[in-house]
Amino acid sequence: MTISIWRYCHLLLAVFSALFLVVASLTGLVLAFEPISDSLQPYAIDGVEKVSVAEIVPVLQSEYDEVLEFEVTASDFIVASVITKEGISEIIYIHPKTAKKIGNVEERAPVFNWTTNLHRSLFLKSIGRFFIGLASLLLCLIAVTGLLLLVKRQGGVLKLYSKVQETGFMRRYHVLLGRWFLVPVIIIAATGVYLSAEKFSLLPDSSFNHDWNAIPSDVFTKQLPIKEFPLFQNLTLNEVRKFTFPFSKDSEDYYQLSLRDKEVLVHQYTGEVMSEVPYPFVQLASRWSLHLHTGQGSVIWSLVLLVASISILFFIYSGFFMTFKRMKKTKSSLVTFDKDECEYIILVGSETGNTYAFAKAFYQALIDAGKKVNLSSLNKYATYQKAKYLVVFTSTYGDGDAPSNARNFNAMLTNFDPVNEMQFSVVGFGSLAYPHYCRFAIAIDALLHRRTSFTPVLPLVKVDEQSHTTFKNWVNQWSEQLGLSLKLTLPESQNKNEKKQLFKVIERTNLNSDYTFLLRLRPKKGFKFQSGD
Amino acid sequence: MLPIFKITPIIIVVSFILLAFAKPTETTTVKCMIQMTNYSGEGAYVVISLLSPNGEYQETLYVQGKDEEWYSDVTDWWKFYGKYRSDVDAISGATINGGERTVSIIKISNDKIDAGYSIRFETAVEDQEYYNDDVQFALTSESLKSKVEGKGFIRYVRMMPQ
Repeated sequence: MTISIWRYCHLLLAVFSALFLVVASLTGLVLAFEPISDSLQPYAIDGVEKVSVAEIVPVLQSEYDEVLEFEVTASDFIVASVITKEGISEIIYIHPKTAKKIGNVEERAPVFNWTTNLHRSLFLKSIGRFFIGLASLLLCLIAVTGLLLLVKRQGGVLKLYSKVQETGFMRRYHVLLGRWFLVPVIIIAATGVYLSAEKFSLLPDSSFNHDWNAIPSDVFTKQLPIKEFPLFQNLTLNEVRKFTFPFSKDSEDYYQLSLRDKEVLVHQYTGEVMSEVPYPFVQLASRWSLHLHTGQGSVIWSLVLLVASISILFFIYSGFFMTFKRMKKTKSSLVTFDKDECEYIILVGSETGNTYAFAKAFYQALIDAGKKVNLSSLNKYATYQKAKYLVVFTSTYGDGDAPSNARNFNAMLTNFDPVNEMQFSVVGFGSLAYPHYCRFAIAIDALLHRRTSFTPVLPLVKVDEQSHTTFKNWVNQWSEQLGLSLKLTLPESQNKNEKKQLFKVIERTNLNSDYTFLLRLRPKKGFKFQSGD
Repeated sequence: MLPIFKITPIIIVVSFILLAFAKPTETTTVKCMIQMTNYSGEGAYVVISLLSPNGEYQETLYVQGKDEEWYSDVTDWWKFYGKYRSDVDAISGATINGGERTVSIIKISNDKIDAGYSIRFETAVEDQEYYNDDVQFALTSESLKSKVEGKGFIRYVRMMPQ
């Protein structure tokens, strides 16, 4: 029961949020280019980390008439708001050593502005932000349920990164990309939720105050030139986020420095630290969330986010593809009989719908032979008034578990006895690539053997990789045992993954007395093989 | 007829000479600091405008907040700005969060000082209040050097001519 709940949740969450996540991922993809394009601009000068504040401040003051503030951006550019000697107020990029202007600060490209608006709020202001925040939360849950499903499928947390057995392009890559991008996707979703929570003031209040009225102490009375301020000498530019010059020449107006983890007020004549306030955790968390969510300042992380956005789009597409495929296969467009009218009962355990396809073909063959047959899932086992023959088709989920529509069969079997004596045959569907090939089918077969009301028609047959030949052989054997003549039409083989090797017939012996003959084959392309392959 | 022909060029020359001596409108560069109260929520949009003696909007001096989508929340100013949408790129900056302070440079023409004009600071925060006169004071040479307290999101404003 548990797997189907998680899978159902995973699908339900995805259905609700799909539309929003598609928009968010597409826009996120576009926005991931912004930090990359920023880093290509020529305003970052090497050696920013070696220039101390004490060096740059006097240079700035001599180069310009007035400096309001300067900022060190995430991409290590230095942006200064100045009034030049010609009296023009501008916001410019400057060189850390000479403080000379190296470029004008351009407005953010309109495409990024527009895309950010769409990404954050679908142009719907507060309502839009709520939906996007909700979609982020759902994405978190989808990722977590996905992880749970993956662990179950691989057979435990320790085997999470072991070989993936799935065949089928969509299924295989949904799993492969899922486990590679699990961490980035959860980071994107969690930081998205945090940033949304911020917008809606759901986070604890985190105001912090400087004491702008701090009185200088008696210790620091000596006036120092700026380049001798001890704090400024010890701070390098990469530790500074924003540096604001005192508003006026009054000694009560201080320098305001926004550093990585705290803010500091410095007396403009004595260099005394007037106030030092560390940032509250909530503010630091906000900053980290923004960096992690947008990739600003890091080209590598931006690239990761870019690929993760593409992967989310793929998950949505492949997830729905798999769902529709499963739904199509289990849709019943068959003639049905009431269960108590039928002599023949077919019970199916199928996770992806593949086993069900075989069951339907078999069902149709019996109907065509004029028999009354009831087809349903193993979970729907009940009492059947006229039933004499039971056929079970089942696959195995993950490491030996029942598929989701077969979980209850064990309990139900022990709870009620059949009305008549039943003759049964079990067919297991699986893949030899898995270590526990057809484990569930084996369990069912053993279970039925132990019940006195059930007698076997044939021993358990295992079908590897939906082999039509094996299945047809079983149908022939079974119908022979029961004296029936069945015409089976199977759906086209799904296994396009199997590459066929071409062989050339070198020799053919004459017919032996038991009507067999020997074929000698040589492969057209040489490859190694062993007996038993 | 003839006297007019002779006078016209003289008049033209004299007007040009007079014009040449006429003073061009000078502006004062003012450093303006806005300190916000510790409100929580989105960054505030703040618009600094010049009002005429009868309280009508004359000129937009500065706009804090770059997303035009929200300009209509600054209701009174929007009625003035929204009509012609003059280019405010050069005089715009970022929104101001609660507890923060911003310094910007504004230019005021000298003939507006001490002439009955006023300066208005209007503030609006998304999903919160709007103050059309958070700070408002008469534009005089004294007030350009002063500190004025605010009524809403602004704690105080300090002005300093350069």
